[in-house]
Order: sequence, then structure tokens, then C-alpha cells
Amino acid sequence: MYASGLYRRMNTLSKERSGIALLVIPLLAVGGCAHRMPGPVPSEADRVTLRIVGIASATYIPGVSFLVPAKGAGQGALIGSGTGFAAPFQGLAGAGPYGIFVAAAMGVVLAPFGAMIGAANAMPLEEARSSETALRKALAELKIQESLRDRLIAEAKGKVGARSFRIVDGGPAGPSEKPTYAPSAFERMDSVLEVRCTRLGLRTQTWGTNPPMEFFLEAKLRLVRVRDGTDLWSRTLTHQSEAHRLPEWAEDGGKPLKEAFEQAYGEIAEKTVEEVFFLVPLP
Amino acid sequence: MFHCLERSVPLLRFGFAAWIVLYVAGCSYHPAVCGLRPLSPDLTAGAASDSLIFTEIDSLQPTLRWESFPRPSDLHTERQGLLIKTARDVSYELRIWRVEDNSAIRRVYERRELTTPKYRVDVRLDPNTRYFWSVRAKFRAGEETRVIPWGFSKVPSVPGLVFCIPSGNIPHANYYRFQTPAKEIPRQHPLRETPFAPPK
Repeated sequence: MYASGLYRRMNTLSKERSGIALLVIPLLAVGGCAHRMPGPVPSEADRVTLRIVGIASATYIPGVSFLVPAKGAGQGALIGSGTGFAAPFQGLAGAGPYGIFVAAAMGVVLAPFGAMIGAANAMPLEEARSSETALRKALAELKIQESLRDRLIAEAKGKVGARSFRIVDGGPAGPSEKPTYAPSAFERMDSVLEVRCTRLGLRTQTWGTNPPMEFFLEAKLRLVRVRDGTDLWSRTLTHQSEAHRLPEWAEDGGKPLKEAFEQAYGEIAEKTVEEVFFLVPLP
Repeated sequence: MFHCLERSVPLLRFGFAAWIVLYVAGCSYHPAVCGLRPLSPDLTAGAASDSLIFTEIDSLQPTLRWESFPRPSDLHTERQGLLIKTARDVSYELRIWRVEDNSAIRRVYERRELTTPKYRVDVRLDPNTRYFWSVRAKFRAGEETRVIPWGFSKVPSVPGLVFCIPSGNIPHANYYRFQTPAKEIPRQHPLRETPFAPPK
């Protein structure tokens, strides 16, 4: 009897609590106790506060990628056999259990052919290794983070002259680091615009030796309000260029590659300044 | 259950036949856009594949037209409504990119401070070449200069699209597009040209 009363009481309490929780959770979320997600662009109210902006760049060397469908005959065979096996499933996916059985049978037959084609068409391992080494060596000498930061400052000063932009230290020292810009260390700044090039390199989806490859550069940007550490805006932007073959990229002392870098810096800087200061989002 | 399946067979047949007809006939539609809608060349997408079509134009110096800003819908926008309602000194910016291959594009043309929502490209573009193009409005609101996002198609679907600001890549793969003719086609009856009516 007592036990059943207790059970009823607990059940009632539990229902009341769940009802309260259902009311409180949305209130907390709407009321701001939940983590504030940055909007697509800073609000007009936030833009007014951007008078002195510190620009902090990452201090680490970004990852360099050399992405081809397969490096060497072994990897080519592996990827080719996988592609050969998987191909019939795409065509027969909707055909039910019988279709899957047929696809599996066809896949078993096609996989060795895929392996042969993959092995024959993969970039030779030696070529892939030497190209990758040359690319890493060439890019290691460039001050990519600083160049991106400087281009961003030039773009901002050219377009938003009324505000002040200053280079500050304290940017991320590693790929996973998310620095906090404490008011004590950045007391003269309203906000800090953090700039980091996360990765760059050459990539292609074309099989074979010496394929046309496009240059790409990915950057992560974040605008942080110093007063309370709130992210006002953050974006990941990727620039990709037209494709050239490796000897073409290296022509004239690597001039096409340098131009691609400049274009990437310019596009990312322009888009960043526009989104932070000028862009009005549309519904 | 068998009866239900039996009844759905004609429906499936009809659906499949309609899809084949659409695919073969190359039916197209006007996809939704973010930003200012292009009026000429028109923006179309293939109904079967949802891929954007490079509209063939008849001149190497095309006249591009687009919606004027602000549009009625902008004036009723709650979010930035006040800002747009006070828009003055509206001008347009136009960019054209050359499509080098399926993925890479290169900006080849740019004009700013255009005062009307149309512009005749003042250089000869390459013949038989695919181009992307886009426009946006620039205006003043109070003491501030503001721009709206570059116009682009919402088809194919754009992942992570928030308030018409696509996440990720520069340049964007959904810009408006056209293909230049192999050679200039002289216009026979320029006075009889019918004005383009935007899709409703």
C-alpha cells in the first residue's frame, strides 16, 4: 500500500518535473543560456562596435596536400577493384534482394578488371612521391599565414578606412588550438579577427600520369568580441584555381603557382571583409 | 496487398514514362535563386537532372539584364528590412567567369557602379565558350555602404545555405551561366524583339 503510494507520488513528481523541463529547456535555449551560434554575418549592432580590430594570424605551417585518385600501382589496383565491385550496386540498388544478388555477382566479376585498370592508370609511385616532395619543399618556404593576414589587412584598410586594423599576436599555434583573446591582453581592441590557412595544395580527380591539377587553399576565419569572448562570425572558405599540369605550375620559376596564391589570398580577403563589414543577408 | 501492388503498377508506369519524356524532351524550368534574378540570358535547369543549363546566346558581347533592387520582397524583409527600406545610391556590380573545365573557373570580367539593371559587355568574349556570371546590388543605408550576396541558383541544392550566403567555396559553382556562339549571329529584326517576362 505504502509502496504503491510512493510509486504514484514518484510518478506524479516525475511527470511534473518532465513538464517543467519541457518548459525550461526552450526558455534556456531562447534566453541565451545555450551557447550562442554566430550568425551568417555580424549583426548591424555588432558592426557598430568594430572600431579597433586586431588581426591575429596562425603561427603554424598549414597542411600541404597532394591529392590524386591513386598513388602507385598497388593503391590504384585497390581503389580500382573497389570501384569495380561497387559500380553494379549503384545501378541495381533499387532492384531489391534479387538486384543486390546480381550486383554482388557482377561486382565479383568486375573487381579484377577494375584492379587492372586502376593499377595501369594510377600515377606512378615515384612520380607521386617526387611531385609531393617538390610541392612541400616549395610551399614550406612561403610565409602563407602572414601573407594571408597582410592581404586581409590591406583589403580591410582599402574598403573600411574609418576603422583601425592592427596586427596582434596570440593567433592559433596549432591546427586544433582555439585561442581565447582575453580582455586583459587585448584591452585596446574591440574584437580580434583570427585568420588561419588550414590546408592547401594541388588536387585532381583525373587518373594517370601528369594529370591537370587545381590549386586549392582553405582558410578558417573567426571574429571574436574581446569583451566577452563571443564569436561574432566564423567561416571556412576554400579557393580553387584553374587546373594546370605540374610542369606548367612550375614554369617561369613557379609564376603560375604564385599567381594562384595571390588570387586565393585576394578572394578570401575580399569575401572576409565583405561579410564582416558590408554584406546584408537575404532570406 | 497484391491488389494494392497491382493498382500501383499503372501509376509507376506513368511516372517512369513521364520521367523518360522529360529526360528525352529536355524539359527545363526556372530554378529559385538567391539574390537578383537574371532576366537575360535566362536561368534554366534541366527537369530530369536538376543541373543548370548553359543558355546559348547569340552575341560575343551580350547584354545582360537582371532584376532591379530593392525588390518588393526585400522591402518586406523583417530581418534587415529597415536597412533595405532606407537604401539609396543603388548601383550594381557584375562579374563574369570563364569556365576552364568542369570544376575550375577564372574571373575574366568585372564592372562596378552600374546604375541600371542591364549592361552590354564591352569586350568580345571568346567564341564557343562557357561562362558563369553574377550580379549584386550595392547601396547606402544611413552612412554605411552595404552589398547583397552575389546572385546564384539554388539548384543544384547548396549544402549549408543560410540567408543566401553559401558556405565554402570561392567561386561558387551555382552562378548564372551562358555559352557564347561559335561566331556572332547577326540579328535580323531587332525592333521586333519581344521583351523578356520574368517567370512567375
